[in-house]
Amino acid sequence: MKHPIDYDDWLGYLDGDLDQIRTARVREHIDHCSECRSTWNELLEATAALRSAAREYAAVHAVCDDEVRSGRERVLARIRTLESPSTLESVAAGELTVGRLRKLQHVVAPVGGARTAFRLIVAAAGRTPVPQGTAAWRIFLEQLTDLTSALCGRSMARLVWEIGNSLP
Amino acid sequence: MSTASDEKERQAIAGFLSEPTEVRFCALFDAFYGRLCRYFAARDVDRSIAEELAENVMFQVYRHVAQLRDGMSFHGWLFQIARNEYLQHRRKSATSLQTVPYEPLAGRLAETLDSGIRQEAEGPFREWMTHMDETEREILILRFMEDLDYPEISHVLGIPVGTIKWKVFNAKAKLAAVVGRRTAKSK
Repeated sequence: MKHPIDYDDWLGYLDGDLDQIRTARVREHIDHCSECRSTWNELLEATAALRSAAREYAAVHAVCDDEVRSGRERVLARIRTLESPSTLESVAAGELTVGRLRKLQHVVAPVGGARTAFRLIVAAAGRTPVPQGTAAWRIFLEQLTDLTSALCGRSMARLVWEIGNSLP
Repeated sequence: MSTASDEKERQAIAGFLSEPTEVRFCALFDAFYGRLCRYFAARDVDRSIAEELAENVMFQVYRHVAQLRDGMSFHGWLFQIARNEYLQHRRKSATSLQTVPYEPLAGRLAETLDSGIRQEAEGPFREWMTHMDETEREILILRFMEDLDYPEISHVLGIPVGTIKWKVFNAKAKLAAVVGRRTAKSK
């Protein structure tokens, strides 16, 4: 016997996605063909069993609120690391050129360490409100001098201010 | 049928796509982290590694959200990233040297017992998946556990929709035989 139902009809019929004409054709064939009726019953049972087994499996592997919270915190920490500047190039803008920033980093690094020098520059740049403006370099230097004074002492801060002002 | 969690997901996606800020990302994370952990667990990944992989996926979602083009399904895109993450993890595990750290016997015994209890609670899903080939397994997980539609699965796997449907049909037919045997045995 020829069976006019293909896999697309079977799936659509199981999912309830077929249009009225195809639904009627499949239903009519199943009513008259015992072989397809048996296939239909098996597929129906398998689909229901699969849905229920998938739900059961998912319930066992559910995560609790604490796990979601700690996972979220870890990812946010990674995002913040990503977004914090990692090079002088990412801080440089307008009058705050890479060359100028690098020279100041070299001034502070022997006393405070390269990492601290970098962080001071990033922090000072962050406190400079208009990096593109003409007064930006002066504001940046004031901020950097203040921060250097707090971390590395007054002498170092004075040195930063003087060198910073003499830079071309 | 639309559920409360579907609605929560829809709102989280719409919120993050319209304004990809950290706050909106948190809502998106809360809506999808569990699903991703579950997806990796269904691919036989250990719990702690599943969490790590799910975090990597969400991190990539945050970084590359601009790549999600108009009309593209978020679910399809998300699980495509998850699948790539899984494949990468599998490649790494295959090439890395297996080392067995020292562990007290009691701890190991407890872990074995624990995993035995969990496997029993998991039901027959894992066992049924062993009857499927790799692609069928992947399709069934995406379709029946993650509720993705055929076009979304097609996007995740890069396979035409017709092929996906054909494979779902074959997998169901295979499963029908397994379920039939199981039912006959229990009678």
